[in-house]
Amino acid sequence: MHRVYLITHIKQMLMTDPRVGTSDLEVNVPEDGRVVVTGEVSTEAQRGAINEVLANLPQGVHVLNRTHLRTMGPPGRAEAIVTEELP
Amino acid sequence: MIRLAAAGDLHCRVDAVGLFHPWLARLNTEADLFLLAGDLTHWGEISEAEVLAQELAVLRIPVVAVLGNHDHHNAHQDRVRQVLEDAGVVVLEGETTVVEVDGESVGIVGAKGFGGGFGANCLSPFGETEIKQFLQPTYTCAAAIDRGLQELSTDYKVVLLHYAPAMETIKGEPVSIYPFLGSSLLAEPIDANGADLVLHGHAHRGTERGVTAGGIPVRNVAVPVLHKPYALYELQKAVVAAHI
Repeated sequence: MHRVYLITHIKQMLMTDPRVGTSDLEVNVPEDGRVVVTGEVSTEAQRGAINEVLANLPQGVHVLNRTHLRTMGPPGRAEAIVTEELP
Repeated sequence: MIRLAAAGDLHCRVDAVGLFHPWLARLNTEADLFLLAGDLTHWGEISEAEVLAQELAVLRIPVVAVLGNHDHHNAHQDRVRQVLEDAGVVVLEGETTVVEVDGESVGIVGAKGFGGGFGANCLSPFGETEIKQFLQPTYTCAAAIDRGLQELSTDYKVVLLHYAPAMETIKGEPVSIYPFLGSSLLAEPIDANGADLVLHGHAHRGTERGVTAGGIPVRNVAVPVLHKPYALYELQKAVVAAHI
């Protein structure tokens, strides 16, 4: 399969699988035939599920899961939205 | 001054019990109302909406929401909406609501919105019926925004969407999917009628801050963009001297 179609199929698998279910991930298939998945996931379980889903790829395709957990900071300060009005 | 908290794309799943509680509890003192910019559930399941409704129960401030494309995924959007409304959430789809806070009022026009693209590259209703059908929800939403903003006579006006009305706040996403992330057709009635703030989600890899072509602030409050549970805004009026 041409790598363009492989990327499409992998992205669809990751989007529709209930354990992963995200379109936020980048999938690249370099010339060496590896599949490299990058991007943010919400949970460690979701990250692990990527490997399980992609275990169904044809034999010989090596998957590199380089996703990382999304970090969440504190809410921070409010932004002032100031509307000018005439006196 | 009215204090808004806003978040989009919570993508609540059935296993999210307790996930939102810790930060939602803070909102009761930090904000006067909480706006949710769609994709409240991940798969559009009623059970997911029930989990979110339980999480939101900690809030004592008004909650106003629009649904997103994920909330439509299983075609249960009406029941998702009902679950949230039963929990006290005001869910808007082409409608308006008004919240009064200490003698000031904020009117919110809310709708999911849809795609179509931006500016010179905006899709036109030309050719196949399917293309015209694709654009129809966007036109319908734009008409509702127009009508809603004209109806409101509040101190502040906020437009709450899921899809983006401006290209600036989706920058970071692949350019090839821009037409599926929103449309400037949604911004046209906002600029025509005026508003203080436009909030949306949907573009997880987008940019938080932008403006419409007419200069109205647009904020992408998708949680993956914010990298925090919600954003806070203070709506204020500044009296300026008249130029004679």
